[in-house]
Amino acid sequence: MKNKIIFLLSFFVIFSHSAFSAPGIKDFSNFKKIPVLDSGRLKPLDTYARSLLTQFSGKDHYEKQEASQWLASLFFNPDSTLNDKIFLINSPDIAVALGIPPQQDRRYTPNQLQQAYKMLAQLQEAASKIDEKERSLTENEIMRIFDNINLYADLSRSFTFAYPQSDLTISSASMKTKLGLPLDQTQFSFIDIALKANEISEMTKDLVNKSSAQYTSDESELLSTTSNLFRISQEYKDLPFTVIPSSLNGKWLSPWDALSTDFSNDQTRSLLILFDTMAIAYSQGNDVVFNIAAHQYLENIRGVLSKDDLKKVDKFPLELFYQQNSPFTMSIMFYIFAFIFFVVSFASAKKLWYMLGLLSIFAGFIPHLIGLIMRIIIMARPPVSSLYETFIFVGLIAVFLGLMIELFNRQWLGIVTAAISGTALLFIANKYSTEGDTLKVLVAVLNSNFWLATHVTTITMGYAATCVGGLLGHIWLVQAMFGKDARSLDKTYKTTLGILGVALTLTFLGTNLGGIWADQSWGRFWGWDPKENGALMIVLWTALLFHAKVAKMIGDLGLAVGAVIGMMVVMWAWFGVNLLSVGLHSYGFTSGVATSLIIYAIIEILFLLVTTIIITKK
Amino acid sequence: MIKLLSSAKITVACLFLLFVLTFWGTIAQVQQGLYIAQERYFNSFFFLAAGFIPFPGAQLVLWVFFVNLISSIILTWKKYTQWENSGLLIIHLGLILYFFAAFMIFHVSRESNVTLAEGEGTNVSTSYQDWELAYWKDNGNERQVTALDTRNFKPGYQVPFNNTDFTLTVRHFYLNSEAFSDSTTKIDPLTLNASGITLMNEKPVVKEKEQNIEGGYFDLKANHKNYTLILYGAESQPTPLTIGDKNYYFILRHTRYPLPFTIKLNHFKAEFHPGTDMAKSFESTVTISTGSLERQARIYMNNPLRYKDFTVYQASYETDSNGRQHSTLAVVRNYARILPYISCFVVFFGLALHFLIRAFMSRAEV
Repeated sequence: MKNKIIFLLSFFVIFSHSAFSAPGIKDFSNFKKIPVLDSGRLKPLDTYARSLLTQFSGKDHYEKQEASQWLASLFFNPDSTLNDKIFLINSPDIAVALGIPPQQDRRYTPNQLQQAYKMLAQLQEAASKIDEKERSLTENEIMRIFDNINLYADLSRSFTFAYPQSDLTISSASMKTKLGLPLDQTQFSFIDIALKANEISEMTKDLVNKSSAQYTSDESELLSTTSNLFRISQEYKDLPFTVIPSSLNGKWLSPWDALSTDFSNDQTRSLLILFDTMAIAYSQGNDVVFNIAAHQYLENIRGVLSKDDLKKVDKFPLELFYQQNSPFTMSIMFYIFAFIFFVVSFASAKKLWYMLGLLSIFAGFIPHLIGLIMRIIIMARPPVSSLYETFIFVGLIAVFLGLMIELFNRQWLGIVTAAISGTALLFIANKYSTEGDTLKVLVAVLNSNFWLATHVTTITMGYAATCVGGLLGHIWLVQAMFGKDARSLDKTYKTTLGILGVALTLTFLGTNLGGIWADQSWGRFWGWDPKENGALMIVLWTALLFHAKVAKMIGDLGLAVGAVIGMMVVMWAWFGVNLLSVGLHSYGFTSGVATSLIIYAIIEILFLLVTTIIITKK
Repeated sequence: MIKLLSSAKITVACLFLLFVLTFWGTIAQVQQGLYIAQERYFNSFFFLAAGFIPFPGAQLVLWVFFVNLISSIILTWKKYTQWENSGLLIIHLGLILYFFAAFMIFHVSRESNVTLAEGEGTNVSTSYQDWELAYWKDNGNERQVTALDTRNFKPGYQVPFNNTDFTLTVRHFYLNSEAFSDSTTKIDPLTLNASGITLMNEKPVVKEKEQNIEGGYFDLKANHKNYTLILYGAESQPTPLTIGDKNYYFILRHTRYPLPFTIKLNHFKAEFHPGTDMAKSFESTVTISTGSLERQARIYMNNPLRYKDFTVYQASYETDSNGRQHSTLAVVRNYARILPYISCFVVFFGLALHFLIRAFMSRAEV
């Protein structure tokens, strides 16, 4: 593990002087579609590259390069990426500890990290000894950076079998002619030699009878080259970029592993030769050859895929479309526009602004919905299995509820609710997408489309309704604080009440469907699990508000405050309980949100105090 | 009186207390574990907060809540019979059914488990955390086992086995213990233990209750002698004693429940997402036989096997040092499992109806 980097360095030294010209490949459309097995899922190379870069740098592209373009340069010309600022180190302290001057944009180059590698390895070794739950943010960050630089090094070696190497030298012209190798080259690549394995063994057959002293210099060069082959293949074992299914057991292999274990299989060999062609074409900047090879590769790989895998590969164009158009970013933009129009409408209360606002919400809602539907098709399951997905889904439902409110009450109330909830939730979702590929496979317990579709969607819709209720509570408080007329206040109040009714119905149903699912798969309806308790708390709190209203224990102000607290309860149920790290719903566990959650709660409490004091004084 | 009981203020108070208890009971799980938190906050009538402030437990609150619910329905019956309140009526009647369901499940359902290697079968299931003291007599092929729950065991307690050959009295009993065998001490012929245990220490009870191992010293009077019987929960062998001309065996073990069928594991399969060690599914193929009938069934996540009141679920699996896979199946006996299903849909229907009626009424007002 440790000498990998050192090796990487020596490798680059050799090739910085080699024949690589500036890459002239412009078209990566075929390359992007190459199927890669990663985190248990078959995905297009484009998605793999995006999540990789996101994992490294927090962004899914590098400067003006698309992720797949950058990955191609890492594969086929690793040297050129050595000074790319791709490693995100959040804490400047870590940079200082590694002896790297801290940067404003917090991003560092592979070169810088290589120089600090020894120090980094020491820090990570210390951090890895600490129990996972006890690790601090900094320690986790060190582990992350260490893994990232190693992954970078491993990936940069994925296609080195296509590069000429000094320990694979054949200088004799007659040897080259016999082997059918080009005469203008003395250093060859691994695959060049591997492809001549039969001819070489034929030529070296007779050498067994000779003692080493009797070898000609050409013969001993050939022998040392062939004996280097095995050593080299051992050095590149178990690399992480798995793209070729083994013909022996269906296990997905990295190009190097396919080369050393499955090269005798015709289909595997054809795929490897195509990768070789791509690598050479890349180094020569030959766009046409690169693309023909990539296209041929896509054709040939279909021949080795199983039926299920083919179905997944057929969805790749949709996935690429989804990745390229980032529909949710579009939605956020329109939701923000809607809010801007609302603000502008204060200055000039024209119908135009209202229409524009309503239109923006629609314009945001449509890509939001389509994006979600695309995810459903790609993954063939309901879109509610990770925190990221629930944010997207809750956002959609909240915007939908906002549109419904606007239908009943055409006075901005619904637009504002939709704009705020849509923007906020998609923004938070965006934060979660930095963990890499957001299209994730499911753990066994969740692997049931029926229950995901019923229980999880209902409960998250309940979250959405409760949040919208809470938002309306905020709006009522702000309106009352600024002395809005009684009619507007009453309207907001009634809408809040209605939405809370929806919220109670949905959370009740969702919680109980969860009970039924638990009964079906764990054998008990209710087990006081933290996540179950969180949902129950929302039900109890909302029911409490309705009963307190009937008992005349609270009035309009009380209900608004209660609705806001309801939203805090949702935040607790949604991800607060995950911070406890106990219980059965361990698939949603997160770290690092504790602080934001506490800040949110403090702000909310201050808001409630200030508004309540001002309103009661009036 | 009934008016006081039916007050909506009591409802609000109950909801608030339940809200607080749920929150508290969730947080407490971090320190105390699920089992203790559940006993303290949810299953109890009272507990002491911060060591000295009595606080109502969820069971008490739920009883008050139930009385409050019934009396408010009786007292305001007129209100409920108006058509626009029909949703409210359904909600609250559904809730009564819900309470009943909760009562039934809390008091009559029982969880246990069966762990089998491929090819093995059994007709008893084992409790996760309850223990029993069992004995039997050598009696040819038949084995008549008598077992008693250890729940009441305390020093001086005479175990009521109703056997004239011996009497058994608890000397020390530990809810969690560790056992040692000291080869240097001379073995006292009056001390009985099959595994060579000579000393047992009490250990603090841990929060994961299924990890506790009970153990104890017993005074065994038989053959006109006073034996010391040491039993430790983790022993696999029973301790034998010949009394008169009969061979008796004693063992302390997790409580066993007889099943009305025999379950045999034919095959276990764990699937993983390709290239990861993340489980995609586990599946046990079993044969269930009941006297003359025999059938095969596949048990996997979200697809349990049902037989009368019994439900058998895929719970977990492990691979032993020989590479043999063992599948653990949870066996739940539940007489009332359908009740919560019905009541939750009744309440949901009531809620939906009520809020729809309200929505239309407010629309009509405008």
